[in-house]
Amino acid sequence: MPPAASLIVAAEKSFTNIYPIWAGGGATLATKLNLFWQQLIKAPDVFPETNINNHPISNWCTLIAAVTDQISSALVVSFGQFATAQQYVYRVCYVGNSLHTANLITLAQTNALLAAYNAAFT
Amino acid sequence: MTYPQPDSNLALIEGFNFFRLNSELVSPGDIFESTQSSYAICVGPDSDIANYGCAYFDTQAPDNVQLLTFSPQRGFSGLIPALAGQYAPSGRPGKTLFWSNDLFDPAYVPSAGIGAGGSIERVQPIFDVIQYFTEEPSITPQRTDKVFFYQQIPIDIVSAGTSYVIIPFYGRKSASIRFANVGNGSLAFGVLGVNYYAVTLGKAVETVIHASALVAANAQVFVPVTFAANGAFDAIVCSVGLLTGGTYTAGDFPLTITVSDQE
Repeated sequence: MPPAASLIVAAEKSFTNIYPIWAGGGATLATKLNLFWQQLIKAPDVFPETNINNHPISNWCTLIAAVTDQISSALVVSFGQFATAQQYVYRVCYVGNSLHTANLITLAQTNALLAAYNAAFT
Repeated sequence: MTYPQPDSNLALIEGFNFFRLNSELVSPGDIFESTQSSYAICVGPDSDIANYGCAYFDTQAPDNVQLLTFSPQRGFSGLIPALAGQYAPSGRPGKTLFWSNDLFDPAYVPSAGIGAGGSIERVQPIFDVIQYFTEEPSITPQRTDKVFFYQQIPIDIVSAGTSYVIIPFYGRKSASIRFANVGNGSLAFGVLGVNYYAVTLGKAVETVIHASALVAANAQVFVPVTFAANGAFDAIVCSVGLLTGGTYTAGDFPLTITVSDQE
């Protein structure tokens, strides 16, 4: 898949990009989702809790982390689990674009979010 | 609002017995938080959103993340304590999170197009959630009926584009739409039901509720919409424009749309 050029494109293509990963197996999906959220709020912590403007991103990442953990331990990853994870990714990309447009997160943070998406899903 | 969002701690300090998140949605990714305990969570009266998602800290749930959905038909009563725990595996504080399960596309443009001189008047959906800090004898999550009244639909009488008014309709059971042509010429008026989907920005599934048809001078058209007859939509789109045989003239074109949770 070609890398997404913007967070809006990333959101739009989230189903197209993540569906083949899910179809390839739950373990792969969990690996990719972990790669995504861990690049944003684990190490390095691009969206630290100390800045309230980071919270929309970190809150979605929190939910992505939880559903990923459940995916990684599931015997069979259901379409519902995949769809939940995909929608969380869609929404975090969208809100990232909104926060950047409103100058609430930096360009570096915006680029980090896009880079994390491209590294994980494209 | 939308961001930075109100502070639930401040609401408590100032003596409110509830915390209210009341904001226009800017994107489908808007998510809000509270760090306070709650005795009840429900949809606020001004909400356009019908289906809300919520996550709260619960050590007995997988990864400490307990999910619930609430709507105008079903609020949530019960103490959710503000615990000093962390969600796993992210290690983030166990705040209560709120978001809209209903989708919203701020870039949606009707597939028929706007045309030169046309316009889109888009009503952003209102996100309205109330979290109570004290026990309530009852909660009434039903939303108020809303009236969207426009004294005038902006119409370009030169270039003959189409003007659209897009209003949120999530979970509503009925709408009453009245368009009047208080002018000298005839104009086409139509109504679409729209369902958003999370794939292609700017596109949505459209259903014709009232095919675009001419409204003669000094006449009006009334379009009822019901869940039983027309189905469920995320938004209602009213279009005013030129159709073959129509003529733009200066005049008044008032539009009134009333939406309700009742049939």
